[in-house]
Amino acid sequence: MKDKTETVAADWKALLKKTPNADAVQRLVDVLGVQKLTGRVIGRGAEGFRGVANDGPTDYLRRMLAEQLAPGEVRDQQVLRDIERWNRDRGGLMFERLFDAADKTERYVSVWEYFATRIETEDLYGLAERLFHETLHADGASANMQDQPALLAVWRRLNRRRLRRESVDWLNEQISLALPISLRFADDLLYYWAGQHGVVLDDGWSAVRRAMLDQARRVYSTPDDLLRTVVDTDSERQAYALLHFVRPPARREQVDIEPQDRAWLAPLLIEAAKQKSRFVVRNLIAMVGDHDVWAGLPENNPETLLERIYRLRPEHVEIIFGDYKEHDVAAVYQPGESPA
Amino acid sequence: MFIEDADRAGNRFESRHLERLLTTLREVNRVSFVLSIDGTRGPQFDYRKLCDVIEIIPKLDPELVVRVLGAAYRHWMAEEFIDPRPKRESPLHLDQEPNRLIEYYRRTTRDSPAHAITALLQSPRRLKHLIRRVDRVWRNLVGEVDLDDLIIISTLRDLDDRGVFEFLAENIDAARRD
Repeated sequence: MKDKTETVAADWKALLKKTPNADAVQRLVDVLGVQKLTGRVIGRGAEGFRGVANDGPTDYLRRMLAEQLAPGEVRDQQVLRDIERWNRDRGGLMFERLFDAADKTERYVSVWEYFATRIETEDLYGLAERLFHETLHADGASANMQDQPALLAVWRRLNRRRLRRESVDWLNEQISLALPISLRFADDLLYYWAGQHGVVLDDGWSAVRRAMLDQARRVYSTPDDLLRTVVDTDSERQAYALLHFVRPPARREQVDIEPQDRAWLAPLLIEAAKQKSRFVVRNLIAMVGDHDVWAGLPENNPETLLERIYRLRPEHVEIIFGDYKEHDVAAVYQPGESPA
Repeated sequence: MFIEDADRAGNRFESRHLERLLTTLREVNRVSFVLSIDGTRGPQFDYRKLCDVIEIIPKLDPELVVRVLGAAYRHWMAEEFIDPRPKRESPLHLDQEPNRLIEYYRRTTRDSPAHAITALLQSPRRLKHLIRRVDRVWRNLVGEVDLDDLIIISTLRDLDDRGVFEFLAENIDAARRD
C-alpha cells in the first residue's frame, strides 16, 4: 500500500475533477499554500507564517476547526509578547520560561523556537551566553546541552543564520568559561556549536578544538581540578565526558592529541585514575580502543563467525599516552582481571 | 410581519396553509407582511400574486464580497494582537481600501480570490454565515491563527459538496510534507 504522501496530490486532482467550481476551490487552496495541493505558488514568507500549510509546532488547521487551543498548547500571543518585551529591554518572562523548560516536548520552547526569527542574531548569541551561564551555575558538573531544550532551540536557530568568522572567538570564550565547571558541557559546546551543524565557518572546529585543549591545560593542572568537573554516574550522558574530551565524537577516528598535550594530559589521566578509578578507567578503555567492533575470534582464523568485541587501538595508546603507556596499562589493570 | 427564509423549509413543506393565511392578511387593515424567499427553491408560493412590491436582491458579485468581507477583515485585524506575518498583507487582498484601479484589474482578470469566494458562496446569505462563523472563531482565537486562512477554511467548510473539506481535514498532514 502506498504512503499517503505519495498519493495525496493525485487524489486531490481526482477529487477536483468531480467538484463543482473546482477552479475556485483550487484558487483558494493555492492561497493556503499547502505543499502538495497547490497549483501555483503564492509567496507568503515561510517564517512566522501560521497558516494551514504550516508543519511547525502548531497544527493551525486543527486549531481553526476546534475553535480553541488544544489542552496544553501555549498561546502564540504569549510567546510573541514575551519576545517583543525581551527584544525591547531584556525584561519579561521569556528567559525564565525558556530556562525552566526541562522537557524536550515543552510547548513553550517549540513555539518560541518557531517565532525566534523575530530576534536579531546578535541578541540570540547574548541569549545563548546567558543560558550557558545559568545552566552551569544551576547544574554544575552535571550541566549538559541535551537536558536544556532551550539551549538546543537557540543552537538550532543560530545555525540557520549566516555563519560568522567571529563565532570561533565567541565559542572559545564560552568553552573557557565551561571547562572549570563542567567538562561534559564543554564537550557539548564543541560538539554542537563547532560541529557539522554548528555556528562556525569552514574548519572552525579545528581552531576551537585547539583552543579547548590549550585552555584545558591551563585549567586542569591537577587531577582534582579535572575530577571536580565530571560526574561519576552510569548515565551515558555523563559517563564518558573524559572520552569525548580526548576523542571528540565528531572526529573520533583522528585523535588530535599533540606531544605538548600528551606531556600534560597523560600523567593527569593516570593520576586521576588512581583517585576515581571506576569513572576514569571506563573512559581510558574507550579512549584507547573501540567497543562493539565486529570481528572473528580468533581474528587470525577467517572461518570463525563474527562477534562484537572490544578492540584495542595501539596507535591511539601511542598518541594519547606515548611514553606513559606502561602507566596507562597499570592504571587500567585491575587485580583479577586481564588488562584491556 | 416578517417571514424570513421561506425557501429553507424545503420542498416537502406544505405551504398552502401559509399562502392562504397571507392571502387573507392582504385584506386586513393595518397589517402588512414582508416575505423573503428564493423563488427558485423551496415552497412553491406564487409570490408575484401574493406580494404587491417585489424587490430582487442582486446576486453576489466579487466587488460586493470585497466590500463586505473587507470591512469585516479590517475590523478583525484592528483587534490588539501581535501580527507575526512577515509581509503583513492579506493574500486575499481584503486589507486594501477601495481602489478603482484594483477593482478594474479584478474585473478584467476575473481571477482574484474574491471571484473564487463569490463563486463558492453564491448567495448573500452564505456570505453572512461566513462572516458570522469567522467572527465567532476569531473572537476565541484572536492572533492565534492566520485570519486569511481562517476565511478560506470557513468558506470551504460551508460548501454543499463536503468532499473538499473532508479531504483537507483527513489528508492535511500528508499534503504538508515535502
